[in-house]
Amino acid sequence: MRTDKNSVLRTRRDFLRQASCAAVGTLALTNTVRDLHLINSAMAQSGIPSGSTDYKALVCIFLSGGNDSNNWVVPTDTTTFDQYTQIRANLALPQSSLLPLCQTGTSGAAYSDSDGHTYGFHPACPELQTLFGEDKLAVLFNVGTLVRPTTRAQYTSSTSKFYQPPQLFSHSDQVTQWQTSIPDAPPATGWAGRVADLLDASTNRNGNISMSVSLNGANTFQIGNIVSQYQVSTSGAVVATGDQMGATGARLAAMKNILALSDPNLQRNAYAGVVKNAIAVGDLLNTAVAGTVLDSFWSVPFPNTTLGNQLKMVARLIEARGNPATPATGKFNMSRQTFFCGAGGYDTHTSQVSVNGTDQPTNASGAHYKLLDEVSACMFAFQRAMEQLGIGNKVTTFTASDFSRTLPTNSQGSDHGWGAHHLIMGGAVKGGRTYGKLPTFAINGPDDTGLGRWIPTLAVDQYSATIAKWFGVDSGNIAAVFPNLSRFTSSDLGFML
Amino acid sequence: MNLRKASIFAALLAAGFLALWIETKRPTPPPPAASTPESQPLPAPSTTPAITTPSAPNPPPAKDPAPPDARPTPPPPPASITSAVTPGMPMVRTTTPLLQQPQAPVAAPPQNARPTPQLEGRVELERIHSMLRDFRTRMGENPVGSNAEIMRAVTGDNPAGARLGPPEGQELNEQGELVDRWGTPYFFHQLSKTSMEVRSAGPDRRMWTADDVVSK
Repeated sequence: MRTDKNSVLRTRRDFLRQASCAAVGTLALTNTVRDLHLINSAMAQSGIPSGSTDYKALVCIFLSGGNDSNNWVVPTDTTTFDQYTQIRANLALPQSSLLPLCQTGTSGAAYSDSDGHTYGFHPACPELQTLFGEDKLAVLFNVGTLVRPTTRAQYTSSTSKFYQPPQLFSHSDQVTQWQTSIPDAPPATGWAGRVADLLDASTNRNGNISMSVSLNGANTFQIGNIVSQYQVSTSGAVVATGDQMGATGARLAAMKNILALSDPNLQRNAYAGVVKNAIAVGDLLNTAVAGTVLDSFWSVPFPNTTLGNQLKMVARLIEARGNPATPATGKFNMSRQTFFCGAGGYDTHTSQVSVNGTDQPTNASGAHYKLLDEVSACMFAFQRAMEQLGIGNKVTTFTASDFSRTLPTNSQGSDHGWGAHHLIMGGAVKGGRTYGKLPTFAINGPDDTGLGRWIPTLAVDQYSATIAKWFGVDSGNIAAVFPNLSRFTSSDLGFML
Repeated sequence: MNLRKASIFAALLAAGFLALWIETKRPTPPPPAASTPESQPLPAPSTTPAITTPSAPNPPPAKDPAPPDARPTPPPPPASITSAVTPGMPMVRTTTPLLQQPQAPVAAPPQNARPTPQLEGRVELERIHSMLRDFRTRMGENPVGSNAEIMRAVTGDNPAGARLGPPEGQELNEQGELVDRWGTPYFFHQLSKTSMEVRSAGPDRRMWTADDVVSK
């Protein structure tokens, strides 16, 4: 949450200087060098005239547990589908149930990639099929945590440790690596946090809220050295309210009066300023989003689910973004924002497709079916909400997850994989097509570690850098945000306009 | 006056010593059952001859649907289990005195009591976790990958070349996977670099069923 700058530090430049000094003493050397570079960049940018006043937002949807993307986007050309069916066994979706990816709409000519593959979405995802047909959704194949480009021969060689990300296949470590985009260094900051450190000073000068807002609690993704993440619940900011503050608000009023008192002790003054600002931001937020709580406000109601409610609050916050060029009271006046949402339950080792004791991959009561049904409906509602606000091409939503899962069944589900397929959604996405390369569906094939876990052909760094570039990170700073990016052949995967 | 006080003090001191001497000559009562670790209700295997006597192996239970390739007899309990019950003492000492304490009745083990297969499976899981702990101590983090990959790392394919497994009495199959007592490869669920859930499919040899044995 943003502190009251004027009461603690005279200028942002002062704050940055102090933060950079503090960083020297607290961070590991490598991280310090990188982060100081960011701070210097931010300081340099803070000296230029007011930055862009256009609005852009990133929304990360993190599917916790490791989404089985092998059943999210399925190849439908005969040869590959047969391989899919043979290896997936009881997890395989019938071809007739798949929702074809079409060049236009949902019934146009079938989309085919450069390898001649055609595809279908999981039957729970008709909304994603619609968005793909509207060119607002792109599919990115086989992306994952990579220290450097890795082949199967290198993965299985005696020097495999040189290539493998640390703690590959481990939930918490892979989550962290996805969110830092620096798998081979101790986690210090997330990539959205570094982007915020870089851009916030120049783009959100009149902002009233943190650039980094989380709807899913604390996360690594938005940890920065300068900008702190601000956590919001699905019903708004949690401020000093409720019974403990008194039904009439008398206690809260008393607390505000105490905080307003001047204190000769600078530390107490600073602390009072932080608390006072927190209450003010919370009040501002709850007031700003009050008018958009009803489902009837939105052209497509958000599903009343964990993810649906998070994305609804993101939409409400974006609606209250204001205009940084003409800052207004009661608005956030932001130019750049990142949001973090999440949904759990994707660790489907068991009961992935089982309903009443039998495997039914197309049964809407199946565990994975329900998960994908939720994410599809929620993403669709959110995209329509952005279009309703007139900023459908200013907000980009993308998915992430710990990893994908094994293509072979474990008889009841699937186990931890590596490379995964992900979706990027928004009007600024070159949608209606796929990016990257579908893995060869063969156990011990060229893309397999040996158990149907795909060796990624694209790195999280490339995925993230492509989005960050669209968001405003220029080529001169992209290496500071993604220090491993130069190890890979392309820093821009081309899926953003 | 002072002499009188000194006499009284000396008399009291002598009486105190006398009382203390008498107290020390009394037979020491056994400790109350509830006050020592040995008196805690013990799990069946730790109080049964089958566990305490390694030379008396348990036959598999009649209802045990163990397949032909499953190990017919469970291994003796690990040292860590026995030492947890009676540190530094023979197992036979633990039960006999306790059963003689009328004020601390301990439920006698049922006739023909013997460890359940699941309990023995848990003992083996403890050994696996000890193996993983040793690995973490040496390497700083858990091994990663499939069962076979993890066992390769534990058995020497690690930066230190250290051989830290398989656990005593446990076996690898032809694929290099660590198998449970029923012959099914364990499932290693990697939660973090310091936390690993290990799952045995249990007697039915099917993962994710009610008889699975799991620990982390």
